[in-house]
This record gives sequence, C-alpha cells and structure tokens, in this order.
Amino acid sequence: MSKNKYLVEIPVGPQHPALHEPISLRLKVEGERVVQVDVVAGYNHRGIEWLAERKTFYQDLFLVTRTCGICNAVHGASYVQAVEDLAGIEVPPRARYLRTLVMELERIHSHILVLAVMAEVIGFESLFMLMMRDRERVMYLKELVTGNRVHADYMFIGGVRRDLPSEKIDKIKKNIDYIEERMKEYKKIWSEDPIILKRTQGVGVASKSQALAHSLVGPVARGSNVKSDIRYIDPYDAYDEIPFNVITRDEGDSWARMMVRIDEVFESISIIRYILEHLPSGPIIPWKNIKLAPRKFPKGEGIGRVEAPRGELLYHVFSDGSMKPYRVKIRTPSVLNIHNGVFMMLDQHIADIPVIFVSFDPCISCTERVTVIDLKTNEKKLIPWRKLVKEKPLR
Amino acid sequence: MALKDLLSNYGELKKYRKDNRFYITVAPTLIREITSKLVKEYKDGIYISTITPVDLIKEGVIEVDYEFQILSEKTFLVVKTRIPRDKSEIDSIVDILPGAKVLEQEAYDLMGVYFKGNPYLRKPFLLPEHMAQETPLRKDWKPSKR
Repeated sequence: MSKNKYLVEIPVGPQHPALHEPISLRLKVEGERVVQVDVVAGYNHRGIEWLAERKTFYQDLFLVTRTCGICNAVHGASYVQAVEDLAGIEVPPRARYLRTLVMELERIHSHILVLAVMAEVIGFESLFMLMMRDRERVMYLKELVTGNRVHADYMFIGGVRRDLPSEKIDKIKKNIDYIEERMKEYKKIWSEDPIILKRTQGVGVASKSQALAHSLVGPVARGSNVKSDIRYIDPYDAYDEIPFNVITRDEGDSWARMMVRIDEVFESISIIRYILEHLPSGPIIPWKNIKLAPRKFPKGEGIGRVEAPRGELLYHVFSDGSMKPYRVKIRTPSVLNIHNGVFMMLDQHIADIPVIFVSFDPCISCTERVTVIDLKTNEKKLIPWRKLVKEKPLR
Repeated sequence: MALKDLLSNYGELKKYRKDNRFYITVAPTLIREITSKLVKEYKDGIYISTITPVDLIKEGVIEVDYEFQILSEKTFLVVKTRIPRDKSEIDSIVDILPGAKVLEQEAYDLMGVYFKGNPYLRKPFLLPEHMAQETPLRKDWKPSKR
C-alpha cells in the first residue's frame, strides 16, 4: 500500500436500479485489489422494533411481515412461534403442515430469485429472464394457497388463516412437477456453463472456521460446510416429522453457495410432495372460533426461530402481561451475512465484488463517483464521474 | 462436556419451554470468561445468534441477552446479564467471536449499551444523522421534532 501514491475509495451503492436493498459499500482499492471494505447501512431503517412495542400482539403480526417482501411468511411464522412459546399455545397438526408448505414455497421462489439475479450480474441475461419466468409459477402457487401473491399474511397466532381445499392439491402437484423439470435444466447450466464457473468458482472463499467465527448463517454457512440449518438443529412446525437432507458443500466459494440453493430447491420440492401426501385433517386453529383467541398474553418471554431462505431468523418477544409486547427483537439473517461476510471481499478484484455480494443474497449498485485520498497530506477530495472520465488516469 | 457441567460454577441452567433451549443469569463481568469457555469447548460448532438488549426501566437496569447456538449439541443458550441504566457499559466479546461485531454496533446505536473494547462502535450506525445522540429503543425516549 505504501508504494502507491493514491489509495482510491469507491463508494458502491446505495442506489441502483437492480438493487434489492439500499446499502453502501465503501471499497478502498489498491489498483484492482480491494484492501478494505466498510459497510454503511441504515438507508432503510424504519424502526419496526420500536413500532412493535406500541401495537397489540395481533397488530404486530401484520407489521412484522412487512419487514421483508420476499420472505414475509417466515417473518410471520417466526413471530407467531415466539408468541406461542410465550403463551404455551399448541398448534394443530394441519396448521403446522400448512405453515411448512407456505414456507417451502417461499424458499423456492426466493432461491430462484437470487439465482436469477446472480445470472444477471454475471451477464447471462437470458438465464435471468427464463428463471424469472418460471419463478412466476411459484408465485401463482403461493397465491393459490394463501390468497396473496407477495404478502401472504398467512400465519396466525395458534394456526393459519386459511384452509387448503383438496381440489387445489392437484394444481400444486402439477406446477411443482413443472418447476422440478425446469430446475433440473438450470442445475445443468449452473454446473457446466464455462462462464458461470469462471466467474463464481474460487471467488469469495470462506473456510468453515471463518464462517463460524463470523456467525454466517443459511446457505452462506452451508456453502462452507457448516451444518447450520434451524429446520435440523431446532425443528419447528412439521419439520421433525418430514424427512429431508441438509445440503452442505466443501468449496466455500460463491459457486458453492449458489449450488447449495439449487439443491435446496429440490429438497423443498420433495418436502412439499410429502406434505401434500401426508396432510393431516382437522382444524387449523386450536379454538372453536377465532374470536376465542386470547387478547392478553402472560408475563414472560418467547423465542421464535425459523430457517428463512437466507438463514436463521430470530424473534425474541418479551411481555409484561398486557395487550402489547414489552419488546420485540428481530434479528434477520442478512444482518449477519452482509456485515460480517465482507471479509470475503478482501484481496479480491473489484469486478468480483458484485458476484460475492450477490452470493450472500442481496444486490449492489454501480459506482457514481470516487473519493481520492492523498496519503502524504491525508487530504480527501470528491471527484464527480464526469470530471473523472475527462481527466488523465490517476497513474 | 455437557453444557450443565461446563456452566455449573456460574449459576443454575434453566430451561425454556422447548427442550433444547436454556438460559442462565450471570454477572456482567463474567461475559468474556463464559464466552471464551464456550468457544474453547465447542471449537467447531458455536456461533453467536444475537445480542438482545431490553430496557427494564422500572428496575433501572438494561438486560443484555447473549444468545448462542451450539451446533454440535443442537442447543440454544441464552446468557442473561443486567447492567445499570445510567452507566450502561459492558465488556466487548468481539475479539473472541468476531461475529458479535454488527450485533454490538446495533445494540450501541439503538439502546446505548457501550461495549468496552469494540473498535467498530459508531453512532449513528442505523439511525439518521440528526438522531446521532439518541437511543430510541429506551423506554423514556420520545420522538423529537426536527
């Protein structure tokens, strides 16, 4: 670093047409290599934890699902699990299976989305379009089961809000067969296409011990051979009765993380098939009438943990015995993966940063301007993009 | 070694409603010692899941819950500790478990718990610039007019 006259800081983000979340990465680069990464967050801070303390337990159910658009059903499931843990409510078997069904549908569409986004980042736009087309089938299935395409609002304290009529089961099976067929095709592309392999293999490597020390969760950890899956280590809803495999890979690079997601889609499909075959009959809430649901919850605390598409999602709900929760702590998987996962970007090329970042499951924007730091005088100056392209190169 | 024997010196290990979830209440000075003990014992299978600060204003304390997932034992452990509200300081564990970095940053920003020894703490972290001196998750905080 000391040899160079200039150390260039490139702000990446916070806005870009293809960006999932507004987040900014401040990359310090030496030539083409990244030497330091700072994550600047908070552009989308809405104060949901604060707001949740001021609404009733039932109003919060609809608030917390708005935390995230893509994985809203898992947010609902995690919250109701925490409240059920607090109050000791037993969920009927049919409701547990239906919850699992919706969460697995959500996992499929979320995984297909990030695989498509990765294809777009690499420059493989036809694959992006094909995958997004097939994802729409899953969105249709989610609408079929829950009544809504995106925001399901399917979970309810004690059970679910809608039953699944038997005539819909055939429709789900038919569409699941189609998705499985297409995913086999995509798996072939992802494991054989030379451009995908060259762009993702060996890029952004995390070893098993690094993944554990930095608290990485979900497919990011499983790509580094950490068997971290809440469905397996802390089973909830119907996962203790359904057979499934935890997918792990040894490579620890961006490609391994994407392949974990592809294989998990197949696991989710087999889970959905099992649910449709073995769906128990009976009520979907533990009370005769939904009006008999408790208004107040006892003093104490409850923990809800589910395996969201991006990793472990945790809700810690505290109650002081009134109608409103005393404190709702939400820890989303991306908090750990984005902020703690940036060590993988060090000593990588600038061109590989989008690939590494998308492999965590968010997105990134293009550079708008750069900050130049003169190390001798420690002087900072911002140069707009227009001036930069007109000026002579820095070195 | 079983978790119960490992933590026998620090207090009673209590169970939550679910069989694999436990909690233990300890003094704030013991957090670093317990964390290093856990990391040493379960070298290849522990990560910190979250740090939950709760403002118990009636008792004048902030409860800080360190929540660990022990993968090899399939056990979830919550280590609870209480620090005074007006002097909300606790030792950082970021050098033992680097994964705690963002969790400590968030707790400092929103609840004002200062983690001694964490070089990454900054304010505002998630909040907008004009709220740099405020801690909105404390129960006595009121939204200010801009």
